[in-house]
Amino acid sequence: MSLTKSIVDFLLTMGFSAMTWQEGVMLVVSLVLIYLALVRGFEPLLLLPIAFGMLLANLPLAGLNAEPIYKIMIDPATGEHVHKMTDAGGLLYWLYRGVKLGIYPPLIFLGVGAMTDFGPLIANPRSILLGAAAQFGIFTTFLGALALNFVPGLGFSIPEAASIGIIGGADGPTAIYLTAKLAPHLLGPIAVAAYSYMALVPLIQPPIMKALTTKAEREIVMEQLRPVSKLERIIFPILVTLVVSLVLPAAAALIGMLMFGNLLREAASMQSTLHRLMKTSEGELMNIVVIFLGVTVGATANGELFLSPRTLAIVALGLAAFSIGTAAGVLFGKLMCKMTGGKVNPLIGSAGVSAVPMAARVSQKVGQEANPSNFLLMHAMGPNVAGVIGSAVAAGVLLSMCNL
Amino acid sequence: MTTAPEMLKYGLIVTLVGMGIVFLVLIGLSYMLDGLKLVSKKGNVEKKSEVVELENSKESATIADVSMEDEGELIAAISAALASYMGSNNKLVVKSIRRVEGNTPAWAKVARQEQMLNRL
Repeated sequence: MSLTKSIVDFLLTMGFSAMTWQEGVMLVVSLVLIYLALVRGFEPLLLLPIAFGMLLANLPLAGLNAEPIYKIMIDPATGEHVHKMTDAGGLLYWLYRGVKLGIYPPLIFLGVGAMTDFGPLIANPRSILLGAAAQFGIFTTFLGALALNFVPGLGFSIPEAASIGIIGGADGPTAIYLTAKLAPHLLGPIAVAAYSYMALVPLIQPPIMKALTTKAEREIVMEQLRPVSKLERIIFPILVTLVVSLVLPAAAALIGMLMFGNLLREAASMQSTLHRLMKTSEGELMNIVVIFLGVTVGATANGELFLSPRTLAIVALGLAAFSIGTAAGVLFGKLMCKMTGGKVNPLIGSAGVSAVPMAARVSQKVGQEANPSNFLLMHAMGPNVAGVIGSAVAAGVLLSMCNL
Repeated sequence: MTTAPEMLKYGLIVTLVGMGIVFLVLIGLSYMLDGLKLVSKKGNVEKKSEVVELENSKESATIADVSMEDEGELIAAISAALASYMGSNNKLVVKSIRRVEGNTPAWAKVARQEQMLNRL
């Protein structure tokens, strides 16, 4: 074997020679996303793992996403047909099972529950309705995606349209959970769109909120919330789990884990030994799952699927979903303002799109611009956490009606 | 269900049912939370107001004088903390504040610090 031949052979095993143009573009996209996460601070906790997963998945010949290969053979001892694994498959393939089988998103919800204070919602039960109104964005976007079927060459099936609509829930784990079950091939674009828009909430929401409200409405100061007793805080997660899961069994995994996390949080002050479980679920467990989830979701962004006009359509529809959700929340807030005789500031309605706690902070900020002595934050937290429950319920509906 | 109008029609049904269920579940929860409020009001027993008298000791004033430059602020902070801990009560009078030297070992202090930082 000559020296030149072995050098050529070695060069052919290198990634450069096997790279397709799609993979090249995807590597650039992943670098842009890493820039956005690190320098611009776009949800770095999730966008960075997603971007790096994207980079790993588009490395030619590395095979991180490779499926295991099985061979059917006859077992010499028993004479039965058995599967024998001849290739173990890639690392990301196995980590991705947690997304595919719907394991990671509920585990993240466990941590979210342990970190969330549902007190403002319990203190003002009517604010939960704002969390329902903001889910309107999910369904209008779902219809919008289906309407694109009239455009030739840009069609979305019903499960795909449902997965795009859920971007409007502004809730990462819910969006990933639903998409992994209904349209796993769209997971990359949908996760990127959902998390990017969540980071852009402070830019997307204020113009819509200001356009739909008058200055007098924005100035409304709300009554202080009543204190919530320990008993209420303990009963709340159990009640929500029972009600939601009995009405909508498809939402039980998400709501059940969210509320279990919350129960751990509230019960930790009664039985101090529970503190350990609470700390693990909101801390290390959640961080571990976030790493696995982010990297593997990013790794689904395969160049050939990602670089298509459909991705652009998903990005545009996602923006529509956020905007309509915000508008619906604010308009419902105006309705509640009229019905209560001016006791509700419509600005808290926009927080109903979830995106905890960013959307609530936006309500606070816009309210304070109109009236510097107004503090809407705690009032907005009610619709905000109700939005999480609302989008999980909406996901449950889509899961049971669109799984065709 | 493959043509665009058929899919859109099904989409409309899903939208109506979906929004209906979302509102139904959340309205239901909202009224149940109202019920929850009644339950907890029954269970709430009014807290007894207690007056705690703080001991007056002679050493205190001198120690505070020596070690604390910003006395006023410190006294205000300690009184406020006491008032909020014991339930705001205008009968609370702070007569003296005395620094107690802790006998906590250094390791316990470190652990305590760690716990507090973790919580934040």
